[in-house]
Amino acid sequence: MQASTCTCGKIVALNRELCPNCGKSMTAIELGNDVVVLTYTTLYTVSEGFNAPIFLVLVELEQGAKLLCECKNENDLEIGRKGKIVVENEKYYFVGNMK
Amino acid sequence: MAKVYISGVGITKFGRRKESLQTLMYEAYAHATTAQEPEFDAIFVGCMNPDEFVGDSNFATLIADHLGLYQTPSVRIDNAPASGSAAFEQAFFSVASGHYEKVLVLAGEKMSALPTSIATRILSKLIDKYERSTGATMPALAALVTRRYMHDYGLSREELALAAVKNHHNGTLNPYAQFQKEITVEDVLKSKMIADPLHLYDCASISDGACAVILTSSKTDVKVTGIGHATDFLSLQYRDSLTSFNATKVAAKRAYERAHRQPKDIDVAEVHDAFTILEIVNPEDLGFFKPGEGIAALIEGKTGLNGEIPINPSGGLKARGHPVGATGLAQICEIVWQLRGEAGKRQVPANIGLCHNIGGFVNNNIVTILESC
Repeated sequence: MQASTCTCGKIVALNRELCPNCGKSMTAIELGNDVVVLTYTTLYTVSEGFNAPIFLVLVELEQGAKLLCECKNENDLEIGRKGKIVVENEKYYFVGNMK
Repeated sequence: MAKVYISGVGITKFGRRKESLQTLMYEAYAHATTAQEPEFDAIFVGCMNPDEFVGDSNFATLIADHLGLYQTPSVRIDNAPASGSAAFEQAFFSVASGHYEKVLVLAGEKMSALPTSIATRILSKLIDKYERSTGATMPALAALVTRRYMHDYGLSREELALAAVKNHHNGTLNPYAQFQKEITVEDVLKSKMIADPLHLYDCASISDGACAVILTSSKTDVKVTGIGHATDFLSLQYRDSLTSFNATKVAAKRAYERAHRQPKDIDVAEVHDAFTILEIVNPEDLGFFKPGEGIAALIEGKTGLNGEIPINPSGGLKARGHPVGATGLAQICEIVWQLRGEAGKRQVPANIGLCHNIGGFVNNNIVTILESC
């Protein structure tokens, strides 16, 4: 999982040039893809160009970085649910671990 | 720095309006001004997205032209759904600096001409590009916050609905409100699900409307005593807290310091309840209640019209309606009426009032404090 860190302590998911917290250059790092769900929603009213429903989760990665992404399975929508991030067609998805 | 006062204020009825945006702005302007009104030194127009919603750009000139304010400097301020308060803020600076003595602030939006899915797409552009690529909309982000707040503080779905019930009640007392009918908790819970756990009645409506406010360096009965403004990270995923908003806390701190006031000094507040969860979180972030105590404050009526700190006597965004660019200035109008004792059946006792307007998904916030004098 791509992420970016800064000497100020800020860490964010994905690649980013300048730190949103202090403006310094960020360093690209790799984080493991084990994550835990912080919160979630099922979206029924979507923007033009999207199909409902959309399962969205905000997950916590290592070191406190967070990522918003889609969730494959409605049954994985639970705060505290552990799982992994998988990449398909350049999109990130949350998949819960086997229970 | 010159002292800055408010003279006239005016507003249109909010809702689905047939008229053009410039016609709505003229209607608000006519309410705020008198026939003897001298010329204005400048016009500040708060409007988020006339290009997409009504198909007009160069909107500041269009308004000066439409109102017949020939040769008057005019500028449009887009600050997402905090455009109304941002236009007010820039107008305040222009008078406080001594550069101008009397300026006109107009704010408005016309959103209802487009289908909801297109309006939703336009509003979703307020969200970080990566985050919106997931399909996230403004209600989706609010739902994520709501779910986490329910988890952390034990807020129930029925309790959350009370925010909509309360603001719809206040809306019945506001002739300018889009919705002037009482609703029940059951009405909220049986309305269409938008982004679980948020139903349609948890979300502010797509609406049309406009407001006008005149700022002057000549003394009136209402003074602008403090404005605070702060941004937060564009992405929700960059933020430390999901149940509290730093842009509100910092903007409020700056406004309180400039006004030499504390949260306990505020008699009445209009806060940005674009979603019901914000009716609970905003008063906490403004310092009226501790984190998690906004729930009890709502249930016990502390934020009702007869409570210790009435919140959104106008009906808020929920019942007054939320034409995005207009909202911040509509809040100013309501607080001015409350301070002047002109708020009719929704009048509360007030000498000091606060407005809290959010831009984006709670990442460009403006807090304004007004006082009787």
